[in-house]
Amino acid sequence: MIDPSTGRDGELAARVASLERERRQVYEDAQREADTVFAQYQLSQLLASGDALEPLAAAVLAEIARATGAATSALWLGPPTTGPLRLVALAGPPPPDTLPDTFDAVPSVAAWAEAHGWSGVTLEETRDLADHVIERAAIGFLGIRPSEHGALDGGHARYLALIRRELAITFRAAQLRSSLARERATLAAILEGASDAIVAVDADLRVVQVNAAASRLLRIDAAAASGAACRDVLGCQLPATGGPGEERLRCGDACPFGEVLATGRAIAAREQTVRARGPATVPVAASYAPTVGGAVGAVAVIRDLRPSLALDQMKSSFVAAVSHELRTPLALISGYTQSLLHLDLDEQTARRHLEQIEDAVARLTELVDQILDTSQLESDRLAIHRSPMALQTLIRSFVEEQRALQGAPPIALVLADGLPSIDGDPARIRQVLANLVANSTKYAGPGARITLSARRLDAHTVVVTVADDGIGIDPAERDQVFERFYRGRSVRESPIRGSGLGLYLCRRLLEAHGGWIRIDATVRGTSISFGLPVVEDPDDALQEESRA
Amino acid sequence: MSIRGSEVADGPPQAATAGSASLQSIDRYIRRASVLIARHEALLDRLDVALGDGDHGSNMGIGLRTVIRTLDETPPAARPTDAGTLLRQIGHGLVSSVGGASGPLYGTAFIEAGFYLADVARFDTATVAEAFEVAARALARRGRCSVGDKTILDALDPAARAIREAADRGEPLSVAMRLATGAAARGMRATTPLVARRGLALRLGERSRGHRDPGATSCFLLVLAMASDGRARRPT
Repeated sequence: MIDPSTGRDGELAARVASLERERRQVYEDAQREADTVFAQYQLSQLLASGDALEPLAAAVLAEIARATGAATSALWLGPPTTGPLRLVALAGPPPPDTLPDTFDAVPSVAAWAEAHGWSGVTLEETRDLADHVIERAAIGFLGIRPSEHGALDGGHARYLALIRRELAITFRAAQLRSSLARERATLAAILEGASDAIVAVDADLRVVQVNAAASRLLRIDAAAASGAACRDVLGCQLPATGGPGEERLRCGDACPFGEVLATGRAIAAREQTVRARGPATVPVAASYAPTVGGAVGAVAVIRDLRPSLALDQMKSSFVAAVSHELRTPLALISGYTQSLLHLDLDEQTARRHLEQIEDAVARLTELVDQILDTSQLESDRLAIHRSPMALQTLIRSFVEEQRALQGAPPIALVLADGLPSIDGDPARIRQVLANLVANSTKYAGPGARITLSARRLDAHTVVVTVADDGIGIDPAERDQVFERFYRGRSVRESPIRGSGLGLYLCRRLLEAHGGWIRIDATVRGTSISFGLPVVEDPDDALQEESRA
Repeated sequence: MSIRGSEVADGPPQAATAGSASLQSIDRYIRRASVLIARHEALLDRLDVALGDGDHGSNMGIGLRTVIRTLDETPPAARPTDAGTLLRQIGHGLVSSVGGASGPLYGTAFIEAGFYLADVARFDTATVAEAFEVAARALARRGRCSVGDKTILDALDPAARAIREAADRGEPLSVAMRLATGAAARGMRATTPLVARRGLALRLGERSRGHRDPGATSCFLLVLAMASDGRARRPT
């Protein structure tokens, strides 16, 4: 036994007690170290989860609050680019002080935190500048409001110091991930929304991606196209030079993709044909460019030339039609003028000739007006002067004028009672009516029966219909007839000439009024209806509301 | 001196033996535990898919097999001679070979229980109750968790309480362990409706509700392995 009263034994006892204290201290230090390491490990697991910024920040703050005994913790983070710091997440009960949502810079948050009794750490990211120079930049602040049990101790401060670099990297990465996801979504939307076909290939000329327009043009779905040889997807007519089993699917020197990959230079608008999954080849204009950044490859933007070729075709037929339309009255005017000048005509014949000339001039004027209106429409300069007007009155006066015209077919008028006022340009509405009736007269012949009717469709719309019993319009062409220069098949095949502008003008004029026009389904003949918005009567609106 | 599991433990106990019987029973126990966990590895992985990263069963299985191989490969002269040292050796093995957070957590529980057992001479219900309590407190401290956080502790704590109550009533160890198994099972099942407040499942928030905690499930299996001796009962 050791007797502490004796000198040497007492020294030994004191030494044993000291060793025991030291041993205990070592044990406690080891425990604390293990706790810190484990806390760090658990935090690292959360940080590695790859979650989006907000849920990640919420989980991390909860974890940090648990580790430090914080009452409330909050994270303010600046954007990857310049801008104010935003409160990203808050854990724990709301603090007594109102938390600012934004701060202009990290020092402001730190100052606010200190003034309100918060602790915290500045989150810094390091940027590798040239020549191994590292720049440190504060990107955010993690604020901790200690619980009532007291301020953070040294262990907590150490824990925060250990994790702050990892936090900065992870939160910044989460921000960049989400902005990358947004950018990708935007790019995907642009790609998918593009009206031109886009085909991307890799260095081996295998398709990497096609957009929706390419799927439509080439009649292949995106999944089937991916990984396929570009010559199969585009239906290339060029002979392949690569033998079986060869990696590169070069189609000889004429392959534009091959050219772009070989030279690294873009090719602007090359006209060629592609063969969609069908028998016919499609004329296209395609631009090729090397892929910038990332994997080696090339992208083609392919425009289907069929619509513009069709438009060219329509313009040519328009020019032909207009030339004819111009020439016929001009020939008449010329002929009658010659007669008047050189023949000694009796007064009655001379007058008839003059009337014929007047008629031809009217036809010419109408045609020139149509062309003028079209060109104004194209340049958005068509003038519409709208004012509230009684549609009923306009239609009646129009029909009376038509009936007064010599040789015009009879028009049956069916007007519903109580037609409301419309907000329109009387001259333009009259122009639409004249055009529709002229069409009926032209295509239904002199014996045509034309009916003009108007009724109220609902509280907001008046519908006017012009119907005849003429040759009718092919239902397949219902929409096309309202396009400029388009002439229906039945009239193209008839000797009746026209500019293909009348119905186009009608549609554009009505659309300018907030209205619409359509071909009605009929058993025989043609029925065209157009709708116009009524002038809203405040009393009507009130009544309707009370009925509802 | 024993660790009472206060916020900071009093320090490691001095070495003492609890007898060779307890040494052998712990050796048999860890082998049974390894077999039981191996049988349920797929279940534990499946439970972990919902709440963690889907590898709790594999981690536990691999870790326990490694622990047993290490025990087997230790030369006889270097093998632990008391239950406490063996438990600590198992604990250190779990820390270093079970992946994920469960390694350090179970390891801590075994190590601290080992420190306690090194200090006791008898291996009875009261001793085991204390060892379980020490283990539960150590695990709660290291994981900074409480009962109801949807963790291992939700099965371990009720098991410790059940053994303590049995000890207070003077029940034999076999009865106490059966009661502990029932308590651990109830604790494990009770984790299903809870919202996770610790570990990877923390980030799931409300979405963690409705899934049984894989940690509580493996803890139930570890308690169950202790309750059975792996032998068939003869009809009496």
